[in-house]
Amino acid sequence: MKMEIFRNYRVSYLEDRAILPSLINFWPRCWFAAAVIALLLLPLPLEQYWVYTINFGLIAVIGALGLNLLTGYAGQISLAHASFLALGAYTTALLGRFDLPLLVVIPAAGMVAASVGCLVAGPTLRLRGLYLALATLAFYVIIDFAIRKADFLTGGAAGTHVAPPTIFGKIVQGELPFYYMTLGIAAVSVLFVKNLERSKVGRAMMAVRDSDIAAEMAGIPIFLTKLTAFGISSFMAGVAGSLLAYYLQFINPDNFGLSVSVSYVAMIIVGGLGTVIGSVLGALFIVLLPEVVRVALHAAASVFPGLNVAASGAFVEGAAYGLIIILFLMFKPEGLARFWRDILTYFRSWPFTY
Amino acid sequence: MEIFVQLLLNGVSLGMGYALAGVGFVLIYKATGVFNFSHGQLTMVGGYFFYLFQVQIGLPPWWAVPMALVSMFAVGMTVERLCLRRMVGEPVIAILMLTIGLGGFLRNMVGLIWGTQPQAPIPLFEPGFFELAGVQVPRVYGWTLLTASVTILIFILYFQKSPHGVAMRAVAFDQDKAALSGISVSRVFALSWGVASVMAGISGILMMQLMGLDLSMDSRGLSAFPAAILGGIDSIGGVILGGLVIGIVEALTGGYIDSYLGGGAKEVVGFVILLLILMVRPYGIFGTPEIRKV
Repeated sequence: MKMEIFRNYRVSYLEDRAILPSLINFWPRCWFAAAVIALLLLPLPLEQYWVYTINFGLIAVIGALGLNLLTGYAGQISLAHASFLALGAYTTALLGRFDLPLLVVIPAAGMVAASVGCLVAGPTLRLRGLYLALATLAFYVIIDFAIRKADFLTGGAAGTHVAPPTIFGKIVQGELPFYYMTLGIAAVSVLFVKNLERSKVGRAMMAVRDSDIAAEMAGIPIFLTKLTAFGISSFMAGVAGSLLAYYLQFINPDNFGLSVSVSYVAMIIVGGLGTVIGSVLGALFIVLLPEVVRVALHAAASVFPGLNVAASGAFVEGAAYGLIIILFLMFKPEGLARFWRDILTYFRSWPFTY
Repeated sequence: MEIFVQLLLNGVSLGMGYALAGVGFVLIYKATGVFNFSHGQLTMVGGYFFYLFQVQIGLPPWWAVPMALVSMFAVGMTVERLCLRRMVGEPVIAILMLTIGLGGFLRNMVGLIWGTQPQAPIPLFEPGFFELAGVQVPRVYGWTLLTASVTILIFILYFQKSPHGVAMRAVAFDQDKAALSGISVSRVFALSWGVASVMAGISGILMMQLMGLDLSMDSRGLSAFPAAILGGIDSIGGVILGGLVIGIVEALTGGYIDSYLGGGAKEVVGFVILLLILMVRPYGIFGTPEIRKV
């Protein structure tokens, strides 16, 4: 077969159904391989603190993919995402007491979160829009209350210790091994959602989002579709929560406050609703934002010595965070995913503008 | 019995607070279709504006209160003009998230400007107690209740009788037809935000009389959601009743159940009610039914 430099047409059904359709060309393949290698080598030259932060970013990627599945693909608003993270995290803490290996604990954490997610979804699926948001908010408050009160299981408000993760009898500890583990799980999650996107279930979700009446007319079981979306979404949140618990080594209910739910919604909005790349970019953006603001603030403090970084730092971060959400919603409702697509289009169609 | 009366009274004053906050929600929701998650923060901003004029600038109260309310009106109009006007017709989640982001922004700006130091209540009313059914009640409670009731009454009159109120109701009823009959919808939107912010400012000043000022004040805005939903999100009368019911239930729960659970049940019971209401009658007791069966 003749080697082609570039083509943007498909020559077989297999190519048409590919998870990453742009990889039929030579250069995109090279870039993709380079990106994979870069991701594998990334933590080596970085300071430990940055690897630590990036690990949180990767955990957030998994959670954000879950929420984007629910909100971006299936169109169901949820403010209870932090509860599902908490459920995964506390399951991990609980199972850690019995010295179970990671390969058992993480799926178990996901399953617990998913089953509670389906329980939550059952009564709330009649609701839509604002009412659904308020119902999930109510569930968040109730689950938070339950976690604080169930001392014997969760350690209550004081929190609980989490045993370190073990895989094949070895303990995963330190920033670097954790980076590779989280990267692996995040990559699997990305491929999973990418795959779901082109499957029957994924298309059904998008149909329900776009018009539930039309979807019903087309024979899509709406309740089941929404339930699936809730289940998968909370499963991924549970996995993210489990990783978070392992990484923090000590969890309490304040790790899963309402602001966590809000920040996950912010991730998918800043990233772009209903896109995989948006979940990834949005999660990394929101996790790295406070760090960037902190660095900028320190730089500003060295120019203006009057600035009191210790007292006002947290508030500047918070205000910047709120402002960025507002600005993205007003001016870039399609989020970072749109930027990404524009950049790709620019290079793909170069030297033409489009 | 004395405890019951005490709790009931606490509940009624709490409920009046929710009703006052709830009226603000309902006004914005009715007129503009936005459910405002930043109402709690607006309340806090109102309290801090009062603090600014009364203590930091040193104006007498009959100047400080109107100044604070005028500033709140300006804040509300500005928010509507800068942020919400662009969002007409956007999906619910975008608007919801915008108000959440706005709330975070306002809260952190308050923290940045006024710091984390809690402020003691600045008494506007004379101190002392009066007796009601054998219970000594602080006068502040009575005055707060009275002010809240009068404010709500004035608001209802304004909403029912004044040309502005009629325009707001027309826009709430049908935006297109209101526009066709010569009402400037965008001005009504701005006015609704302004008036709702003034209501938030009043409840902020009243709340400050009872509990002082600090940065946790905004979380009380969250507790007003169940009140708004219970009564029906688009019914002014409903939200007042809902506020009173939720307030009394919360106070009684706090008095009788919290001691068994070690605190915290008070904050949750409102949301349990919210959930039950949403499952049984999502549009609340007096709200407009919105039937869509799929």
